[in-house]
Amino acid sequence: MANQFRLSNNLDYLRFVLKRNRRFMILMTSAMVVLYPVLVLTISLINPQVNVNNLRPVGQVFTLILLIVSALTIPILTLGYMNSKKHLDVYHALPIKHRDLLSINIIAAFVLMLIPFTIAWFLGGVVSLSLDFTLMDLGMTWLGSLMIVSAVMSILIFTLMHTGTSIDGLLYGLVLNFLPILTYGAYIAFSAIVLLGFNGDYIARYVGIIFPIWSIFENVFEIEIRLWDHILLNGLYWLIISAILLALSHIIYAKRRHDKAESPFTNPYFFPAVSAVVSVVLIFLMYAGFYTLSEGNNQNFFNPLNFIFPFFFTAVIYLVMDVISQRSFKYLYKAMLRYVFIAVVGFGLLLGGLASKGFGYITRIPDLDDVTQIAFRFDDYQNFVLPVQLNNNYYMTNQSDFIFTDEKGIAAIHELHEVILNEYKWINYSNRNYWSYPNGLVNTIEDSAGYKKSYEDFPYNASSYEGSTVYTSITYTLKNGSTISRSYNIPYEWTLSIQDLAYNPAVIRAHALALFADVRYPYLKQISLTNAFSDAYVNLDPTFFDLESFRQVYTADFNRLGELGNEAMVSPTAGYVKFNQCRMDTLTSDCTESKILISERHTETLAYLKTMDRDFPAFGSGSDYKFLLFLPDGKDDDFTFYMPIGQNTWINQWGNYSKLGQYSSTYVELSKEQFELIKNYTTNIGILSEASYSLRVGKKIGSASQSDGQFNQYEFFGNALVLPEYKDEVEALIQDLPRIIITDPYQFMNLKQ
Amino acid sequence: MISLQNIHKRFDTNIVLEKVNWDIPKASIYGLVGPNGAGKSTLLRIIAGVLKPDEGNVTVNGVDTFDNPSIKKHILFVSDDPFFLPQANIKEMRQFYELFYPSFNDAMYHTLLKKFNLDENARINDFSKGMKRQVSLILALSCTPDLLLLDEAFDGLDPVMRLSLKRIIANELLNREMTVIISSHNLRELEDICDRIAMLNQHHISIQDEVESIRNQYHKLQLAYTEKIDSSLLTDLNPLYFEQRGNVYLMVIKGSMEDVLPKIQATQPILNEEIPITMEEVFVYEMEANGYGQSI
Repeated sequence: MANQFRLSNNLDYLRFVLKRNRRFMILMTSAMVVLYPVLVLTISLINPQVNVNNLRPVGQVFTLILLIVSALTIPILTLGYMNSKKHLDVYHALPIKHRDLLSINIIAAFVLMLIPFTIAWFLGGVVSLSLDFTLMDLGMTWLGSLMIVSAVMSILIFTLMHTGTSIDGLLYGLVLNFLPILTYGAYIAFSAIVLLGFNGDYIARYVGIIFPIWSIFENVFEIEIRLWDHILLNGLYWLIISAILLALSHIIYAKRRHDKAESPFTNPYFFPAVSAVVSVVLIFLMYAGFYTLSEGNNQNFFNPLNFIFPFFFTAVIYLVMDVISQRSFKYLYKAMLRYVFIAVVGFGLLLGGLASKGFGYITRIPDLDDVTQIAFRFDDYQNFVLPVQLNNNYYMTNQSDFIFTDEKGIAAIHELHEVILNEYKWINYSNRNYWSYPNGLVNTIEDSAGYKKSYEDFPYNASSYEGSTVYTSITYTLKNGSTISRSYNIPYEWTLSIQDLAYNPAVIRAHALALFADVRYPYLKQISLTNAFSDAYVNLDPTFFDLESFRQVYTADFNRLGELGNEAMVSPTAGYVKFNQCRMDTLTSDCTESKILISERHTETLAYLKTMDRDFPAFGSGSDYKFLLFLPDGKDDDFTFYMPIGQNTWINQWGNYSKLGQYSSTYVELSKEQFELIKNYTTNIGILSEASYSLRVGKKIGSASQSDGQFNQYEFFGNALVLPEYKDEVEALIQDLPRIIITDPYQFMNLKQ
Repeated sequence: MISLQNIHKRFDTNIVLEKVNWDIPKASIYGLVGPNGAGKSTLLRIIAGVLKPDEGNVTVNGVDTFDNPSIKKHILFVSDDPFFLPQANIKEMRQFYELFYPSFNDAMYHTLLKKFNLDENARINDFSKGMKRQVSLILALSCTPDLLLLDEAFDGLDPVMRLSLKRIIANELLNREMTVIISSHNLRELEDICDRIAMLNQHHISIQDEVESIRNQYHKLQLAYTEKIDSSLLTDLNPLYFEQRGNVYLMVIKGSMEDVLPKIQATQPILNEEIPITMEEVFVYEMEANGYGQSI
């Protein structure tokens, strides 16, 4: 009976609070409705050509901003009684349990926020429904946003338990909302500048789990950097945080009652603690910012001048915070003394971090035995080290990592990491210009006194890549489930250890991720077979193509060949299979392409394709083609004579041939018949152990007049290399053909008629 | 019966109440007096269940009041600074109190509004300090509590309103056996309405009794002599207050006069007169005897 009375009484009180604040709800609802459904609807009516998918986000952004404003103001309305002794006396004298009073006002705050948002979000959603934003999306974004914004509100409520006044509650509530991202920003900025190997690849992924305000937008607009892809997972995470903060608030409300002190809900340690944390964070942030601003050539991290600005700037911020919290200048001198103590701690941590190389961060490398997986990224845009003959458009845009789980792959990456650390240790870590030495990083390191090389040289000349570096990241997953992630810009010269991985299944998988692993593109829209040396192709009917069976046979081939390594891959190319896959069956805009090379050693795949009764297409008309065979001449140790390049890959551009111009290169021009014969001796895949003939096919794309005659312009496909065992046959075939020597790359593109 | 047993209360390091024991009989009007900062408001807030004592307990008919809605619905606390919801009118405040006090008396509410000539729909923010005080008392009385706690409740009221409210409180006391505790500095006012007085001094209740009993314990004597006498003859009697003006001596004696009177007679005064003492004087002399205000 007593409980029934209590419940009924509490509900009556809840209704009363809501009724009291109905005008706020009306105003907020009006603002949200005007800025979302009304805005979208009127623009759509005025200009029906405007895509609703472009309009909706505008309304959503406005509504979400107002939702966040609500979350940061409504608790001040409903819990304002806590911050006035007079009000608190009356409220706590009322015949209602203190915890019920708090709970009802928190519930009221949530309802006051919920109602305007719900009305605006659903009205806005309904007037802007489309294939890209269905009723399900509408419901999910609504629920997810509310779950996340509850944390924004809970942080404010938690702050109100300590601050004593509403205005301090609001100010410090904002500070606490932003403090984690500020701290994270300081960590990132500081680490990125001073810590060799610091990996910034995943920085953005964690913003959504430390900064709820950002997380709301990230979730609604499906920004791909989310840690958890599902909207409700993010929502659930923040809901749990919110529940924890509310539980803590209830405990503080009960334990640290207003009646412990004359000033209600004023935690004397709160302001100093928050100010101290903010100051230490600022010291790191300012140091990083100032270092970047003032960065000179090889500026030492320990240069005392680096510390002056961060010290004084942070001091000013600290003193301003203190004056605001004290509402007086009276305690300024005491605050200065406190700041000195905080600065000692802050700069102590900063110098400790610098002196200890990030407390061992820079030099830490896990034991090989502890590693279960390595996610490896290698932005080898020139495909110098990992020359995968696949269409890597998808790979480049999605920046997928290679996931190595095999012993050989893990060992190779681990070895590369050791090389990186062993080489970097010869240079001074005390400045950030690791890769901008005037004479090149490798030369600088190798000029160090007592230097010992820790890596093997490439068998061919890699000197033309000296000075250029590749962005590399290594993320270890250890047996205990933890991860260690590092990233570097490294010179090509150090990378021989990973070249054996060029045809590791992990690399192939990453390059054709949509085909093998990415469930986001389930709809196969187009499939075609392409000639190995030209753009001739035939389409297959995707409705009769069993993608799953294809995956199985292709994977079986690759697993078998991958285990055998590079040498096993070296074989003539049969052709390419090109897939176009889309996220939705009805759309053609959100699609991706995978293109995989099928060599004659892909026996299971070839057998499977034969069952389709379609073969790779013939070369096509020969009139527009020019066939060249480049000769290593026994003196040219250029990498292109060791590493074949696949047909029609993105690397098949001008820049990849430019290096030929740095040396004199010799070629012979072949007839179509000679080409047809020689191509059977070539491979488009693998890495050769000795230099071999390079077969290139140029397709005429235009012509131009120059002072010394008429030239045809060609686009060249691939760089197929003659298999070593057939070199003699090829030598015999071309022995009577005239040798042409070129030194200018333009000659290669523009061949005289 | 309201009982305070061994109440201790401190705010941070500041001791406010210490070993406070106080029994308040039902249907009484108790005046709570004490110097500034003695802890009167704190004590009322503890009785109202707003604050939890650090030690001891407050019971109403044997039940603890702190955070106990079933008891607190019979207690109403009117603080020294009246509280109203932001931008509220009297009607909204009535609705607010009706939520929590099932015994809210609508008839009394309307009668009092009419009596004090207040418009139910008028915004309270626009009222004068005295009118706000009237509203808070009207609402408090309309809740018909069994225990009404008034903290400096009559401050700001004009004499007519003050008298009217006193009458209403007295009626309630008679009709419903309501118990009232009023804290005030104005002892003349308390004398008029209270039947008992408690004095809070140095963190504890130093006096608690009926007004007449207290008054009977204090004797203000005016003595005149033909010539100056050795004042130690009088000061040895431990008066609360002692003053000499030529051959005339004024002193306040606390306690029974039976032992004191013969000693006074022995000094052979030509005039020995007991002057009526007010509660205010009792309060002042008690406080001064405890060293309060002597540095001023």
